[in-house]
Amino acid sequence: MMILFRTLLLLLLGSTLVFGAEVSGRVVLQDDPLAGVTVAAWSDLDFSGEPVASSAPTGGDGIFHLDLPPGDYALFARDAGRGLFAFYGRNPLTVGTEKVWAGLQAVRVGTIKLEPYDDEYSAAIEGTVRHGGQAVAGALVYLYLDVAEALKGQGYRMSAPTGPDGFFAFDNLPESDYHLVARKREDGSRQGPVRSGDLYGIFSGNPLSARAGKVVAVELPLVVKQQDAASSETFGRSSNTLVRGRVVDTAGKPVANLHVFAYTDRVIGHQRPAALSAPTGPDGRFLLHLPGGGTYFVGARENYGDSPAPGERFGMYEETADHGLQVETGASIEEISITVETIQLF
Amino acid sequence: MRRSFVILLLGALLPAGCLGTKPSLHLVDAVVEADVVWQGEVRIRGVVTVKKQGRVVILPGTKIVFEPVDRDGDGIGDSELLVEGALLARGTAEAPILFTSGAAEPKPQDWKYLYFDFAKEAVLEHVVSEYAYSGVQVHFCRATVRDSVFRYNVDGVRFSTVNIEVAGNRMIHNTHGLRYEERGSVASVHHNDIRNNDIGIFAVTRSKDKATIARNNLVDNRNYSVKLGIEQREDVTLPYNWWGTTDGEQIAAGILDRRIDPQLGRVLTPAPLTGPVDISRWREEKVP
Repeated sequence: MMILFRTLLLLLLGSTLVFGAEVSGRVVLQDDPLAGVTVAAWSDLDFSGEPVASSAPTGGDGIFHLDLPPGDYALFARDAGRGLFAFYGRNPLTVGTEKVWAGLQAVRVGTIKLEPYDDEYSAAIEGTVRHGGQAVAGALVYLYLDVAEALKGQGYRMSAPTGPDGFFAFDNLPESDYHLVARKREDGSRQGPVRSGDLYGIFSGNPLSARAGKVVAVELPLVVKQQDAASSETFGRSSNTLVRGRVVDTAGKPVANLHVFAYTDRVIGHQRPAALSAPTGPDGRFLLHLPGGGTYFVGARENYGDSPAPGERFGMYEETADHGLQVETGASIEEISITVETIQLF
Repeated sequence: MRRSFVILLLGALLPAGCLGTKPSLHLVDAVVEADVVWQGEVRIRGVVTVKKQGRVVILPGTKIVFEPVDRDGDGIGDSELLVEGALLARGTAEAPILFTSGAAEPKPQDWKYLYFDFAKEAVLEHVVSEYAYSGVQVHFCRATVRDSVFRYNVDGVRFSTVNIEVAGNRMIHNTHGLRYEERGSVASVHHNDIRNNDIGIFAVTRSKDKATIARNNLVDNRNYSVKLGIEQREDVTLPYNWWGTTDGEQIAAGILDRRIDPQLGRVLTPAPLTGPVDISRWREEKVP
């Protein structure tokens, strides 16, 4: 009996090593569990190719299970028969060796129309952003040429905010395939992570082919971003290249609710940082996951995206002249301190 | 660059004449963390940073020469003066302070910029800044830029998120005479000669029309006297400027705004002046 137990244990451990972890979750349409859909995992956010794994169809509770080796995956589900498309709101999902929960939200797939465009040498994309069937005003639609940046950042083009009719348009586009994402942030910002309560959506027909002399018109349904752990409201993914420390004010007191950022460029512009921490706690402590080794220009601020604004608390790492911090891949730098001050122009 | 800072405690330096043709000071990727005075000739190679606790006073007639090095091969020189502390460059009309290229045949963007970033003090008076990517860039601080010349740069004067007065200057022969992103700035740009640039004023983005840009000469700029960036969707108002004409259509013809791209805001030019502004009178003349 003991030999059998050990054998089973070894098999179990072995399978864990091979499969990494179980990913489970629920697929919902609005607030209702969605039965009969197959959730699949892709190696990136381009779901036009073959997935690396697929679940069995969900049951009445909308629950699915996938066993995946460690790595990053994008989870989507599609039901062509019922015209449904579902996505995980925090794609890509990092799978390690522990069980992971990942909920997918489904939307109804809209129509795609092709019409003549008055410029035979360029293409156009236009459409309507909706939520719950209603047009969404103030949403931004982003075009990405590929999924290399996980459909984050400003992308190739960003639309003007949609009007009350939810309409957006991109004119004079080169012929290409485009990935469309729409976001409406409650705070009105144009950049930064989508937070719980914001609206967002990935176009079910990605990548969308735009051809010269044609306008392709689409519908882009959004969902409400669900509550996440604060650590997910960051750029970048979990990694083993870490920086820990504290954010303090000029009196040395800890400062809460600030993000620590890391740029790879010395002149931090309006672009997306390479990494952004979750907000500091009451003790001012932060943990920053870096994408790998290198030199990062590190600081702390209240907001993210765009450049700092008057009234915002801001500070840079001051232990080097250029604010740069060198980190080896897989290394952990501990106990750095960043002092912030309020930006005042007077 | 770890904390092996060069701490410059030299104070007042020897007059350049005492050293023959040698510069008074040659700085290579240096850091200034103390009070110093520059005079004579100061040569800069790489990045010289005036840290928060540093304060540089540049005396009239000083020549700051940026050696032309392009470490990243992007075609833009990498020598620069970055000020996070204080820099007071007060020249005189007779003895201006010169920021220039060290190239044998100087050209725009031989060096990167004089860059104020969260600076404690930023004062430029009677300086000449030439052959840089940006003659001066000012961000996140209070600054005055007066009675100076910015020429043969990509950007003559450039700022964002500042409290700044730009008065009595000549911004000439640059790609952009003035380039700015308002971003909450308190900016007063007046009594400047902005001429013979490709573009006189480039309002890139995030302008909420709060900056005062009045009593300037905006003439003889080659492509546009004013251009809005592709994300500048709000109107920008530039009242009481001299455009070389009072004819609204002619003024509009030199502006890139909604009339050319429907997605942009408009550039409004109310009350155009009927003749050139005497920029030397910026102290006496009230800005509307």
